[in-house]
Amino acid sequence: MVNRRTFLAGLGAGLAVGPGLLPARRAAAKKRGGTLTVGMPNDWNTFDPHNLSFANFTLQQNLYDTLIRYDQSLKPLPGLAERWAVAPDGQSVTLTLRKGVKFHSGKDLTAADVVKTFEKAADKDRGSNMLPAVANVAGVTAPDAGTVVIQFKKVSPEITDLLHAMAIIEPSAMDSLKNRGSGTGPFKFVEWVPGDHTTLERNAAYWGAPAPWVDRVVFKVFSDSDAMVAALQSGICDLVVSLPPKDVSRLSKEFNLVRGHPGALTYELRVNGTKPPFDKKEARQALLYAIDRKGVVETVLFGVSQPTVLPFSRASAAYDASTLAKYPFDLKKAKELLDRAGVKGGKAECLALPQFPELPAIGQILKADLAKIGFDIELVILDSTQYYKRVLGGDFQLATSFSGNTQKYPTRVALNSIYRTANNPVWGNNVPKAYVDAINEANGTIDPAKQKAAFARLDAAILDEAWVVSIAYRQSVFGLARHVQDFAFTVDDMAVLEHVSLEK
Amino acid sequence: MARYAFVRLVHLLPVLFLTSVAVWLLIYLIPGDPALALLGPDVTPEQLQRARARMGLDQPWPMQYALWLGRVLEGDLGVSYLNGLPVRTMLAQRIPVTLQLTVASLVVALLIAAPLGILSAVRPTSWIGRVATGYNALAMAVPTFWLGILLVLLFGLYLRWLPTSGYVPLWEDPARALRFLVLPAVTLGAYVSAVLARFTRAALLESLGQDYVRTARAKGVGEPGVVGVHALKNALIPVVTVLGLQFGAFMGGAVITEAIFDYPGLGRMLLQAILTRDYTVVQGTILFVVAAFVVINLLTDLAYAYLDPRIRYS
Repeated sequence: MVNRRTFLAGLGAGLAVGPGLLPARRAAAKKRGGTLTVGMPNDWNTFDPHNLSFANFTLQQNLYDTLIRYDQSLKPLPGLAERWAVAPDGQSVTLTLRKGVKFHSGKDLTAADVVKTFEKAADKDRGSNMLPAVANVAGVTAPDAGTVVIQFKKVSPEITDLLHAMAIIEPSAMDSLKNRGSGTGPFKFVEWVPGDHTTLERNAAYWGAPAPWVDRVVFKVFSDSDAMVAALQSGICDLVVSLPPKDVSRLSKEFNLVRGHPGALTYELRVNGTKPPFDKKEARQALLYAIDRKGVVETVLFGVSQPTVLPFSRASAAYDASTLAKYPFDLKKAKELLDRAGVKGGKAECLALPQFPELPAIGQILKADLAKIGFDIELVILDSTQYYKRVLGGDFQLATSFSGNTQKYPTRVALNSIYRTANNPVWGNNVPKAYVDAINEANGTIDPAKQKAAFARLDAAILDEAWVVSIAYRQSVFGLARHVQDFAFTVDDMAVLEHVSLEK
Repeated sequence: MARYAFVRLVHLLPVLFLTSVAVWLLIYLIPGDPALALLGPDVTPEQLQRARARMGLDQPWPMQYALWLGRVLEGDLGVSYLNGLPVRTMLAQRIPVTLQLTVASLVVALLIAAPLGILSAVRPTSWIGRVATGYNALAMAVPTFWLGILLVLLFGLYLRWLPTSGYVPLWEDPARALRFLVLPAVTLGAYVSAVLARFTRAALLESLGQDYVRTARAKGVGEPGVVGVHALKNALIPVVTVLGLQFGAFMGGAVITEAIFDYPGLGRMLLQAILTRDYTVVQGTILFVVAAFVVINLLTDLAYAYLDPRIRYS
């Protein structure tokens, strides 16, 4: 049976495939114009689409375009590249760019602009989070204005992930991305008042015409999520992103609530395998059994999630459904493992970020459960700069956190700092060999059978070394006033606003 | 009086200098790094190091402070580490917003406090005196955040009379701006109204017991004239003092009220800058707040002379 929630999620999936795919009849009936006000719990920290912080996603999706898009089942679809052909050896790809695409300044998009974006991504100072993603790129050339050829250093099984992540930036705007941006996306930059609001306006020359439908989008930042919810309820906002799970049930009758892609991010407990008592593998493995994942989903995430033992989303090729049964919540087993590690009356500090109230709450549940087997957790709540300084510097025992890129080619998980194969905040350059080997194996083949075997070894290495204990998926919920129609989201939970109309 | 004002303004310079040193020291004592806030949780150690060098954060703090001070002396408050916008521009965006809320809150406070304070002083044992005492106790005891949430629930979500959050400049659309101002101004003004009402009542009661009031009454001046013309003006000095202090405090930002009503004032900007260790924005904002506080206190002192001609400045 299809209920409204399933229907809305399906609608999101349908619309995420790209512009111009709305049935003509519906497009003719849609209203044009108006200002869409979107409430957000965080402001962006940059207009650079290569900074892949979760907070920047909504902006990036609506200001820029990527070379290709994904539908909700991660099937690649045309974006700025109309066609792409991967060489049989998997070491290069040739892209044919869409014709008639213009940057917000009015300049035509050419292959040379795509090359410049790749050069920026590969630049040590400007590459941001795309720098490791292009590490395997040997060169990018533009044989003509509409063709781009990307050459890889070695076989690349994650070509579509790279094309999907690569947002193309107008070259003349690359030096001012700290506080403004320009791409080819459905909306153009107008104004940013940091900490308060950002205004975008309709890009009339958008290649996906007749979208976008609204004239302006105002993103309002709320430092308090309750104030954001009140703004939705009182009609100040038409749409809010990252609705707190606690409000989902209460608001479900009055608003259309759309659940995002399950598994865009995964909540986890980061465990420092170089600091006692977790320098003993058994002590880390004990945590796999000591976390009440169902309890977290029910009490912290209010049912808006599913538990997981692996970082990978359920759509990922590396997801293994049997792991949930293998690692149940079992304090007796956890105690046995702690005993085997020689931990008696253990004690550890667990760091958490207050901006995401789920993280301290997960820490509280862990603390209460471990106390039952005589292990004491001290929960330490830190602001983001202190938290990241300690977590990235390996100055912690336990930390609640989350990882992204868990729904794409499985080795992309290594883009998260805690899963790095080198310069890892926990292991430095001594990352467990079985894990590094599995990543390298999966990255070195385009043979599906070999990939499958490598993914199995990857899962086994992550669970055996247990320096990251996955808990549950973070599923975004978008709250929409009834008059907001045709909202969609991407597999990264980026809000797609180009099709949105205000049917007031 | 002009000389007095000039000397007080000159004294502002060392105050600002010492404040800037103290703020710079304090913010460096808090662990954290603006480069991390900018680059996010998955930055590599090399990227972090390069960004810190680009931002000048690899220099010792006295050197960073000296560079910042040098720019300030040239009239440049610097740019935000995080968004690259000039601090001057960011302040210019926020100051009118905070000023609007401050003035509105004090107007609300005065509208409540003046009648309540005067009536409860003139009729201290009547029902209005008891109501005023009860109101004062309640308004001072109720936490601001709680009152704000109650007002949002009642007027924003239940009755749907007023918007729950946001800001509209008064000069753009006065009617709409007032609708957006009512709830935060009442939230912020309630506590001050109780303080002002108590000061007004106490000062007026004292004035009403003075000889010159008895003389005025003996001369046949009516009660409104006795209270309004003779007693109240002399009772205003402590009231003006409180008003001036509150004005200065509100210019520093009412962080909680601004968060509840999503009001984009100086307080929210300062809090965000502290959380992200955006040193230049913290410094620029605090220097403005200190300067505003000193200037408002000076204006308050100068107002004493108007209220009581016996007061002379030299």
